[in-house]
Amino acid sequence: MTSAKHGYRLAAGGVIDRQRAVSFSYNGDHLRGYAGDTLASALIANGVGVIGRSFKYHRPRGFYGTGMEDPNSMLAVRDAYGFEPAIRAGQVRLSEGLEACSVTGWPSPEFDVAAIAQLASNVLGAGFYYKTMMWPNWRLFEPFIRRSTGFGRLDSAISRREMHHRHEVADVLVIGGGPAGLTAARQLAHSGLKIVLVDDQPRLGGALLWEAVSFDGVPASEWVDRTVDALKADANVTILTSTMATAAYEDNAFTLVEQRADEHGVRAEHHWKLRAANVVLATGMVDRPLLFADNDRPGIMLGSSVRRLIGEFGVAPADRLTVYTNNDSGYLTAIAARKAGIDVPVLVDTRPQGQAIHAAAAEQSGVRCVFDSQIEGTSGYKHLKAVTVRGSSTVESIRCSGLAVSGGWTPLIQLAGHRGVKPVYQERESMFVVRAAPPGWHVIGGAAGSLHLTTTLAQARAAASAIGSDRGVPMEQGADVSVDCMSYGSISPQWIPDCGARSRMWVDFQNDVKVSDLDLAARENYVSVEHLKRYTTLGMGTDQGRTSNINGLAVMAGLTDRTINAVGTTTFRPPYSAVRMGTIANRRDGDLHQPRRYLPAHAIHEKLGGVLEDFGWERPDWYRSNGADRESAVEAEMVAVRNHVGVFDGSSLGKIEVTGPDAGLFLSRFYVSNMATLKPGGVRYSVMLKEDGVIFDDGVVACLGPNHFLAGPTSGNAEAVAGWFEQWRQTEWPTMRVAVAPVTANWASIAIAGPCARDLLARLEPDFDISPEVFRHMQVREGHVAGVPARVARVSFTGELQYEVSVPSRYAASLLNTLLERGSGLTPRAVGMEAWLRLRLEKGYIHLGSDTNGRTTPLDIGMGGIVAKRKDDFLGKRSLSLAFATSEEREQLVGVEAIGGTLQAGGRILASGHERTPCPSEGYITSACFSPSLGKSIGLALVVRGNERKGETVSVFSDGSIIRCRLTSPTFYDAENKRLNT
Amino acid sequence: MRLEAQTVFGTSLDPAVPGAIFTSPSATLRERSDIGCILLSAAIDGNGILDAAGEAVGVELPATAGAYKTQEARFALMLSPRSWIVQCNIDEETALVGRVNATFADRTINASRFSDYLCWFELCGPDGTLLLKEGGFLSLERDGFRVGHAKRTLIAKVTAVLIRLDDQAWLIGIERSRARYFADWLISCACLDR
Repeated sequence: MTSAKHGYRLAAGGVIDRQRAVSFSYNGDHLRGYAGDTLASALIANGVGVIGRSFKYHRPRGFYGTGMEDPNSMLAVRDAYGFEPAIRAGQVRLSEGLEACSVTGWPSPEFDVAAIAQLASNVLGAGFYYKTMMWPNWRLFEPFIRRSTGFGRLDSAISRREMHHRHEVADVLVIGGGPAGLTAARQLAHSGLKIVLVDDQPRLGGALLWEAVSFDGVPASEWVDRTVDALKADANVTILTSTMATAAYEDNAFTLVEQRADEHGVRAEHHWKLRAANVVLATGMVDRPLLFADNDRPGIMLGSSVRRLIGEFGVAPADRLTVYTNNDSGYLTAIAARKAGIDVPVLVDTRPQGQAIHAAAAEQSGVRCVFDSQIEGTSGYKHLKAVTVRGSSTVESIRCSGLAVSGGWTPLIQLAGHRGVKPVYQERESMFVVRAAPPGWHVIGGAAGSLHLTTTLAQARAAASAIGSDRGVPMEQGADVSVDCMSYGSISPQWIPDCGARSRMWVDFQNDVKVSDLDLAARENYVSVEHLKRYTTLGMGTDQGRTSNINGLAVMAGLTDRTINAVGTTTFRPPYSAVRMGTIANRRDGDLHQPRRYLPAHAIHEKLGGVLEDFGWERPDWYRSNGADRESAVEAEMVAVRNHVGVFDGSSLGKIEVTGPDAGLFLSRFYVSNMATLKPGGVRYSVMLKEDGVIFDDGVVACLGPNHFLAGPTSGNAEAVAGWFEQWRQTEWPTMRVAVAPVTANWASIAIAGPCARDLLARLEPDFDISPEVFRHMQVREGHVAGVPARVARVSFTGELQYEVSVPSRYAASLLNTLLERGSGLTPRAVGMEAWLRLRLEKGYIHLGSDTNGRTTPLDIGMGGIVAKRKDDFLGKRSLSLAFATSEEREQLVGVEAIGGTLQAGGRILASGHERTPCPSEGYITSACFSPSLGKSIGLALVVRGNERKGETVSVFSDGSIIRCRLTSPTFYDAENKRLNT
Repeated sequence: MRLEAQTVFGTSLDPAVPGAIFTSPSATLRERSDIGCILLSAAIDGNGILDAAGEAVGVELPATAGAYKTQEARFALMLSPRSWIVQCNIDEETALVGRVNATFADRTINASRFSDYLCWFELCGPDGTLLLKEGGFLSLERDGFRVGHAKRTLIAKVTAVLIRLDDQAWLIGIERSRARYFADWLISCACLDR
């Protein structure tokens, strides 16, 4: 054996590139592998045995599989492009300079201090943490439990991996590039159908890369190459290698993650969203473990993984390998090992000799086979040293460093499960299969439970023909090929062995779930497969039970005298394999995280020193040009509005044109006020409600002309209100003659407010009369301003004389500039959001979302009179008559003046009679500011029975202290409305 | 006195001077500030009004989703069974709105100014389609988004009006306030190594 390998690398064989050595490191040790290796194969080739520790008992763990079925080999990996906190070694292709390190075991997987937990294994059974650590308090133990959980290491390095998103539509998606998938794709090719073939490996061929197979007398590798060449010749075929189909959704929508790697690592990931008319599921199957005492020792491995290591990577997993099987594929493992020069002292078959169809071939290659036998136990701790074989009348100990096990096969049908398919147990092959595939799907090959390659190829051709005839396209008739390979034969399952301690038989290697744990769960009546999973943590690790679930539920079936079908499987949910959050996020970070919305005069705001904040739109909160700091600038802006004129960009305010013969009636059904009576040129303020009577939005509606209205919802709700209108128009009132046209972004709206607002507007040379007698408060005009089309509304949010001048957005910058530059003598000042909101607070106008919450109705904000006047119906009206809306205990909007101290939004109003916290609360401060006009701290508040408590003194808990306040009318400024009507 | 017009990206309003926002060997993104448009919204169903509306705007209004119609300088595409965008020269917007609203005085069909609502981008080059596909499904149809078709869809979380001019050229209308984000997003895609 020593002459046949270098380390554990075989002298020949495999599809690796032995001319290209690749350097990498593992836990700081510098090692070498070859291009084409996975990290797992390279580590095994370098003699690494213990790769990690189990979760609960910290038992040493070795490689159990070579791909994503491996429950043991989670590592942290860094390549030239990024860092993976936890990934299976079998899923990482070796790249130059790659650094891998363990994520379990301290200080190392070889020597783990926490392994002392094994001494307490008798008291750490299933669900022990549900039963223990209750006293004195779970919180006492929680930090320790949390620290000990998790597989992975975090790293703050920024990934250099490029992320792409792709969206495609195909006729056929073929998942799996093994013999089944390749045959189906080859037959469908050149038919004109758009075909996407995906495989999670960088090289197509699947098991043909390592199994001993020939087609028509030529090695399988040549058949694979020829088939791939034929596929590449069809421009309608897209081949995606290194691509994992991670999820299947309705309408045959899939997500795929494609890795694009170079010699330095994974350079980019492409996250595909693909929709296909037909699907060929050819994902194959994986080996299952066998249960026996101490079946978790490093050196024990799945039989198919052993064959893959030898055939694809030219690596020997051990120098002396015992094989344990309950089916005929174990013989393939023994023969492959012998051919590679590995010593195989014995093959242990649980079945009688008569069932073993390859026994003669194995014995011919020098393998001693024993039948009707079981492995009773193993010895060794960090490395397997020997196995004990119990025959019908003999017990013998076999020295070996490796054990290949094969307990049957598990088809990889999780993607079908994502579509709601419930797998059905097939007794003859002892596996769960898909009986009723989703519409348009064809499950073939190993995924369909086929154990014979000839059957697999026939299924593939049949699936392709069915798709072709379904799609009505001509198709090349694939010729039958002569297949020469050893069949996987048949299986006689043995779920619970006759010998060995159940407390030493591992079902889930990652989470340390043993047969005895399942026994306990059964005794405690956790017999539902979903309860079993959660109680014992079976299959809840990062491997999601790929190797453990079937054994676990079969054991449960045996323990509860049920059939395996009756126990069933747990639910398969997306994703099939872990997907990086960064891959999903793509470039949606930083400025591209969410679509940012910019005002049409954005550049001018920046030029004026506007401090921009995200209010749904990027809007200036205040202007540096008005003050050195926020408070002084805001005060200057407020003073400007109160004393001369301020200029405010309100372009983000919603604008929805509602037109048609029924437009007024239509709007009236949404607003508390009757908009049908609004005359051309008129403007009305109101609120609109959802069906529950709670305020949804507020704003003004202008009547621009007959059958032509302009609704002005709030900035944040503009699109939601348009959608709300459209929803009701289409679903409830389809016969109303009305059209809804959102035009917010088309118009820039600049508000000018203050005693000099009219003078400033006059300087824009409007072509209509703006004299106070003609153009009154709550009116609108259409015409031209500064030579361009404009809509001017005389409305006020500040309590001052105010005009909102709307012009097409392309003129926004020019309008803003002109207003600020042409106002000489009027000293106009740009006003930001904060000052604007404080001005309206002085006036007592609500700010939706601040002064209202998810319970506020119009009755709570002083609009009860308007509601009472409405005779006809509007949305939410009925709810306003229900007890919850008319209760005397409701919170109502009032003003608040601080008697001492400073009010802050969010301050809680203490219940009457309470002067200290904690105590009941009777409401809260919704908005607050210091009013320069009034010289005191004021606010609005929602207070229980607020309307009848005006004048009352209350205590408010705010920012850690309690201050005394007086409840008042919400209107602090110009209660007679003289200024806005001036 | 007349205010000065300014495009979203500050490019010239003169169509003879197209300003490129981004250029690479595989894709070029330009702002098409010369394109104006109006939005037609119908208050009632029925093909009967389409002819009259088409006559008013000078181009037949398409009655099926995805299709667009052109006639001289006019271009019409269907947004929904009751709404259409009609492209025109930006200087014609006012006259076109006036003509429609005079034809339909009861506002059975209403024309709204829309030139400033959408920022029109022209995306050209071999990678143009690939860039758009980074942001979403352009079409769920088997034949994809064919040349000569138009639709409204979501790209990069933003509503976009897409018009496929030819194999390597797209006209994309993005709501004005989100246009800068969209351009930044598209440029970030274009900068990726393919």
